[in-house]
Amino acid sequence: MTTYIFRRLFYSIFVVIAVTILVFLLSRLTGDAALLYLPETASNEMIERYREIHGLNDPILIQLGRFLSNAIRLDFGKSMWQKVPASDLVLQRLPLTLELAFGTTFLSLFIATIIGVLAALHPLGIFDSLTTGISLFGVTVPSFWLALILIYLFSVRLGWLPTSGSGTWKHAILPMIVLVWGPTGYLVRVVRTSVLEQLSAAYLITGRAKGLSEIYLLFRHALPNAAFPIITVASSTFIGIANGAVIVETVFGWPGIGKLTIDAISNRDFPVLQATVFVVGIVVVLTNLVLDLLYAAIDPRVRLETNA
Amino acid sequence: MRTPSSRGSGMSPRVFLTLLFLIILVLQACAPAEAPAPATQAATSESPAATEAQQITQPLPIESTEPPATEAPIETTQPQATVKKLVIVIGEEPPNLDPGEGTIIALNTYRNTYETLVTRDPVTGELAPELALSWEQVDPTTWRFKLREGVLFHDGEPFNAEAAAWMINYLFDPANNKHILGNVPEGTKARAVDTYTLDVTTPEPFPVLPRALFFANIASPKAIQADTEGAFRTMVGTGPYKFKEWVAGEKLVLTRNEDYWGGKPDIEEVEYIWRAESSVRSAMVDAGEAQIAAALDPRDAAAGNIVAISISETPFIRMDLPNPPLSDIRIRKAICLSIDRQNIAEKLFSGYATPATQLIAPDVVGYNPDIPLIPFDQEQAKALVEEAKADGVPVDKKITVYLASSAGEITLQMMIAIVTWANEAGLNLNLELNEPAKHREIARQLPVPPERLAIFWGQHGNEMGDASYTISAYYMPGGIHSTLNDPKFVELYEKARQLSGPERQTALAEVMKYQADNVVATCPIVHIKYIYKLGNGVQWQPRPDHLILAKDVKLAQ
Repeated sequence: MTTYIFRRLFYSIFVVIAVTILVFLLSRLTGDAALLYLPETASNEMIERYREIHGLNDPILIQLGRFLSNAIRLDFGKSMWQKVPASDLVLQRLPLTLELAFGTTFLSLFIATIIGVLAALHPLGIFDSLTTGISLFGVTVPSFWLALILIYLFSVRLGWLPTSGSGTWKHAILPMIVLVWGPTGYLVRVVRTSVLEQLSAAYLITGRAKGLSEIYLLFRHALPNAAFPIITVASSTFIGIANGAVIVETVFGWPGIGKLTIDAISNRDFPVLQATVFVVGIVVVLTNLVLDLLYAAIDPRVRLETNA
Repeated sequence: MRTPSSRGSGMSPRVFLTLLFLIILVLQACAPAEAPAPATQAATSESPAATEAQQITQPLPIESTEPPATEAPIETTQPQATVKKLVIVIGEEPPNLDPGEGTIIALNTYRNTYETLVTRDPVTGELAPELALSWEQVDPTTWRFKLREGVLFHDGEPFNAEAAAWMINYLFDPANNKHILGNVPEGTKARAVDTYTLDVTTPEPFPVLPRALFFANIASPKAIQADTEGAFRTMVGTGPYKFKEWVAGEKLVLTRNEDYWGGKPDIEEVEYIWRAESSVRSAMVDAGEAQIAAALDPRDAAAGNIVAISISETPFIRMDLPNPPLSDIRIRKAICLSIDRQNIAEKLFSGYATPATQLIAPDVVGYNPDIPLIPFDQEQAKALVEEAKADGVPVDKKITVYLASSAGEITLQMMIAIVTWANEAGLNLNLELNEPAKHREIARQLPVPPERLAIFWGQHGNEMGDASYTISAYYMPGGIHSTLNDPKFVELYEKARQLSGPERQTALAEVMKYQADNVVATCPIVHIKYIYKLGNGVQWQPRPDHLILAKDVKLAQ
């Protein structure tokens, strides 16, 4: 298995590098960074000097070569706006984004599993209706609107929670509530469908015939077999939030990667953009690797491929 | 799902995952709660959209709105704090703490720590002493400043003419390419005449130099030089508050300067936080998390202790002049007549704007009170278009109105309305939205490409306080946003810009009138008001120059 892990990481790093190079090239087609940074009335000389200082006048291949030779040492250059190493900025923000991602994913899994299982155990009952309701809510309610409503209710009127910011567990509650609905709405349906499939499987009928309890059958057999699609969707949730929940981070002032990325794109802060893509790429690679290992851990029939 | 294959070797997946989980837990427990910002030095840098100084020639209206009678005040309880702290929530985090920044955010955040030679009176807007006690123009290209004695930088270094000269030369050195570089002529130099006398010379007469120096933050040269990386993560100035910490992404904290030359301030600590959403900034004040919220959207200013002040920010449109039909002044006048400024000010800006007669605000030198407000007169607009059409002007040609997507919802609605009104007058305007970089690229494409018919939305802020800043950029040939080439206009302006005092005001006002009557390169729309919300019991008067000075704030007892 160790070999498998190293092999996966080795090949994945090429993917991450390729994506980073692609972003490097595409971002330079999107417009002049100098025009955004300098005032609107900046002279053409000022703009030219800015381009010179940041090497933007060099041929694109020269810029790419310079970028790659630094990127090998994980040096993505200095942020053109904030004037500090881009990788520092990204790594400062990453833990906060991961905090949201982990928290939301686990919360979403928790809620979806409970409701989805109950809905599967009692089809067409109240939990089935709840499943539908949650799904609809997650899809139709704009997160921006929900965030503002929650702030008004819980922070301004009731004073129970801070309006925004980060630093304590209380700060994470409202952002997670906003983030959890979308994935929960989808996940609860996956749980329900997946568990229902297992509940009608032949081996469970055999188990019941042998006198095993429903609880035992559910937790020991049905749920593990139903887990694959559930954890796949949950990992997609995690990856989505780890890429940056821009709206939530913006509204709640949560200093995560999402806002940093959007600002870097808007401001053409190429070093930060490249560093972000690289770091998030690594997170995605590691998440997929963990997902594969989880598959193997849950189902002994799954063996990780070690041959090329 | 992985395909069955040969059994892997080494530890089992379950053991690996368990170990991984434990490692993550341990790392989480060991990680600091907040990553401290790396120590950096104050420095100069470019900053977006440099704001310009404004000369205020008359007191500006400061409006305070009381909460509506039907709305119950929101009761908030402030935690008992041992430190008297002022929390200010602004719209965005400063990208760095470079004293060469001239943005509104820089003005909001820097000026409790940095000071300048010259400041402005918050009521009259006239120039006032700060680190310089007096100044005079000793010859056409030299201004002499007498500096305040006994002032120390926060690092203990003395403030004197040598330090001031070093800073000014640093800020206006073209090689450093600072954001405020364009505020003074290239080649401006400072030198210390004696310990507390500073001369600043310009390559050509520059009567508004003291105004320009309003943006030149005086930092400790030693601190600047020590910042070899040019990261600008701290501020070392002379102001009433010292830099304490900057937790990147979260807050910027200043602490009282006990030895401030102007007297120890009352408030002990100032904390800046930032929230992009105006409604969240407003909610923070309601919840007691902040005492001042800046830059509120008019729609979030319906309740609470709102104070607003007229500033120089003026949305406008400017038109390409070379190609027909825009080359015909009747068409340009028709477009200006198709803007219902009163409606825009009242409905879109919820009353937090005033119709504009020209691109500069009333407190700017060169403002001409005799320029009338262009009425909203679609009949006259139609008549002008018909007249032009009868003379063979191709009024049906498509004219593209360019707007940046960052302009915001209110501006988008405003531009849709203007396009609609102009088309009702018989023109063929089409709105095109571009993201900011693209918008600026197109807007700066000069000379005008053949056959291009373009109108550009813009928002101009002349915080410099002198019309020359506006005229040189938007009306003079060679100006960054100018497609004008009127010899008479050039002649008038070249004479005016050499003058100073009341003569300058009169001459520049005449230039503005000439433009309004005979050129019509731009259609001003409204002057915006800057809106703040204050917490319970907070007393503070906003300033038109965007400074939020903690020493002027009184918190609730």
